[in-house]
Amino acid sequence: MEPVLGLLLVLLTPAHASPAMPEPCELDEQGVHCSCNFSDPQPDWSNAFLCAGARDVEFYGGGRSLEPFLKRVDTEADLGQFTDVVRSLPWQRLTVGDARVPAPMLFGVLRMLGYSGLKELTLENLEVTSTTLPPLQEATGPDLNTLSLSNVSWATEDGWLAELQQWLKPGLKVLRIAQAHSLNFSCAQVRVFPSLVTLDLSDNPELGERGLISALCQRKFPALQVLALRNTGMETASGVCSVLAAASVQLQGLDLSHNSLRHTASAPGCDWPSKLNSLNLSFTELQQVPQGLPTKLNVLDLSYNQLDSKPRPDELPKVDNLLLEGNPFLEYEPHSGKYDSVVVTAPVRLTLAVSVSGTLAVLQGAGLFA
Amino acid sequence: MEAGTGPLLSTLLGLLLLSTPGTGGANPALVARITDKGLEYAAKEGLLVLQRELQKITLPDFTGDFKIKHLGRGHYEFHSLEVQRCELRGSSLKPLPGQGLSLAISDSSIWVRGKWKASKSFVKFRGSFDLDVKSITISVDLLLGSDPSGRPTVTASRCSSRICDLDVDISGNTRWLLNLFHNQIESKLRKVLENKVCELIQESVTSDLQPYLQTLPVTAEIDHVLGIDYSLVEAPRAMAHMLDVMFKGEIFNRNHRTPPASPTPVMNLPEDSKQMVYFAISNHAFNIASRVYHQAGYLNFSITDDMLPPDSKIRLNTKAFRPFTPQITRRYPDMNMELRGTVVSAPLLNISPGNLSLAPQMEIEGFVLLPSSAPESVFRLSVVTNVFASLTFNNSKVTGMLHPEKAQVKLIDSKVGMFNVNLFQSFLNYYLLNTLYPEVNDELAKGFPLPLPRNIRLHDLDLQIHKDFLYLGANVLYIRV
Repeated sequence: MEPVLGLLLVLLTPAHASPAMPEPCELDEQGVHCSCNFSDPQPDWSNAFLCAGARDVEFYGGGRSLEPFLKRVDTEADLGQFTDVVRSLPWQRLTVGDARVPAPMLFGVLRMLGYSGLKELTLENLEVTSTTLPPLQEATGPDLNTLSLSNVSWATEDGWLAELQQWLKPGLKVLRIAQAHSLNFSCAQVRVFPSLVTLDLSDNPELGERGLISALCQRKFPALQVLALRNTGMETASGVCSVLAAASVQLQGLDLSHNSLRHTASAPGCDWPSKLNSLNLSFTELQQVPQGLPTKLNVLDLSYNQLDSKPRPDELPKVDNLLLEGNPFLEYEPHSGKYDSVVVTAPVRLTLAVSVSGTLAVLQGAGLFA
Repeated sequence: MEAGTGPLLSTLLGLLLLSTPGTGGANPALVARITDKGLEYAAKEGLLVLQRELQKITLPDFTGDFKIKHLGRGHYEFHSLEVQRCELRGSSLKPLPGQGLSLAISDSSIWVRGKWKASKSFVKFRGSFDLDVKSITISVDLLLGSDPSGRPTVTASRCSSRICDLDVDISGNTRWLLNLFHNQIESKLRKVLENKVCELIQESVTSDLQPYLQTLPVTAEIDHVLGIDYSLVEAPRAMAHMLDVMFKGEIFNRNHRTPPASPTPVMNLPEDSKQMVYFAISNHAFNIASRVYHQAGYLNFSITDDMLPPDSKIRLNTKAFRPFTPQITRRYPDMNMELRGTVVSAPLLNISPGNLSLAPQMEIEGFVLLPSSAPESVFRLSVVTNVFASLTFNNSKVTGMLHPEKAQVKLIDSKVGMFNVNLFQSFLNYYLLNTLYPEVNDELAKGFPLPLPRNIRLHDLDLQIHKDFLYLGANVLYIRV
């Protein structure tokens, strides 16, 4: 019986690992969640087979370079019958991290995953080296709903999004890019994201309003509804507004929490996106309600700031749900923290946590996952 | 005449048999039909051989006394007659309904050379002469049958030959000698030649043709387990334009032969006559084979951990099986496993115009090999697949190849919780397509041999698929030794 190949088209090596070493992979009782950490110098790669039947899979490369494997694998090979095996993998979520990957190998893996039903892909702490030719056919990768990148560096630097996009199918709904080395996209080469609803650029402290302009390629995000800019070095709410206006971006929800926002004395009038109805300014060290906010909002979150007096109605836009928890003035006026009965956790629409668990959302709101 | 020099009226005549009552009642699973074209070829080849044999005819001397006007009495001798050359041109080999075949040779010639001596008193004359025997016609009936062991037999009957014309050229050209020849020798010589020809034919049929027919196999070997029975079921049927030979065509297990469970149905052969010979093989032959393969255990398989390559990291044990059955290690923490595949019943070959297909139904049962007791069954799966078969007709063997489609797997029963059937199905298909089917095809590539006598090659092969039988047409080449 032919041995079944492990992931990443890696060939099996004869056993070097002594039986006493713990195995790199662990599968939970129900067979749903599988996690592999290949941190040993010579790990047992084939142990990854354990994850073939799981839904939620993680592979961590222990920081190693995968370049030596490129010689042993033909990333252009016709996968033949192996595609049926890939098709039958029940993987829904995949996380790959902690490795140095040659671009042909990464895109080869994306091509292979195109046959699977994968919905969410997370790339963490990867260094993508070299570059490769575009695919022979467009959109040969998986039909993802969500793509998350965190601390991923690319040899193609500014052109990485355009390069990566060639391998993705157009149905992407949520794109998260954190700790990016470059968000200065070569907009001309970036294609439209026809289904992208949420763009999350949080945790890019150097971005600022200037960086945001280069990131929000005009007309490339026609379906965008939510923009998350937590911890992105934004300075003023109105500054963000002018960037949005310049980029002609339509939004319904904007998350500016965890930025140190300044108060500008005279804020020039700015046309906020007309459909904007949710604005999150929590954890922004605001001492007073900023000027130049949209005139009408469904939700305005000013919680966990430095407001030392209760905002007056003329300082505020017309808001259906106003959140003020965690501000100093509440210590003096404990009953006016709530204008309506609202829940303290951040609106679900702006919560971009993976897990369904509510505690995780609260912890995130408390800044533990900044 | 040596048996190895090739039979008289050889090749397809090898398939002609004396009809004696055979195993009456049974239908053949393989029928060889020889058409007009085939008989024509046989006659042509046969003639070449006959020609060679005729050249070896020995002719007697003709001696006597003569009495001639003015010359008186004397003694003549025509001696050392030798056949120089023989040309048989026209031949026709036709079926003789109810009996066998009838061979007719016409427009043929024999050239004879000899010496003559004439003496009177003490005067001696001598010289040589040439004979041109023309317009020879021969006709002989070949009666076909089979002996009790199922072997073919042939006897010649009713042989007649006639010489219509004879030209003689005597050296010296003396008139009296010519007259002498015409009056006293010619008719004798004619009779001798005519008799010799028929004698030769009779002898050749017995000592050459009959042994050649016996080179037709009665049982042929497929491999070390299986053989095929090609004994004749009944006397061959000679019809208006063709001859049908009926072979049993039953595949059997050489170690353990049992009679087939059901009789072979009748085949209705089409009227094709473009090629020299057609073989009709009933799908019943394949189904008997399938049953025999099944009973011999060929169609079952078992996979255990020790069958995997020793340096393979993927093993066949409960831990490695978790992707398919995540909860198996709750009860069986780390034990070896065995997968046993059985074919539920012998797959039947479905022959319909255009394709051949099989629909084998398999069951795969998974066992955990407990350290100190019998293996425990933990799950059962049903596997159904459609397999299309293609046949190639390669010289003297019919070989097959299976083109499997993907198998469909369903869970019958699991004692260890959830079973990831789709994932198992894809791995199983990978194994079947890359290992099991190629092994089966290697087995089928051995083929089974067609019943042919020695020195026969088939070419221009044409395969037709009819309802319930395969019809293989071919032209014949006899390899002249």
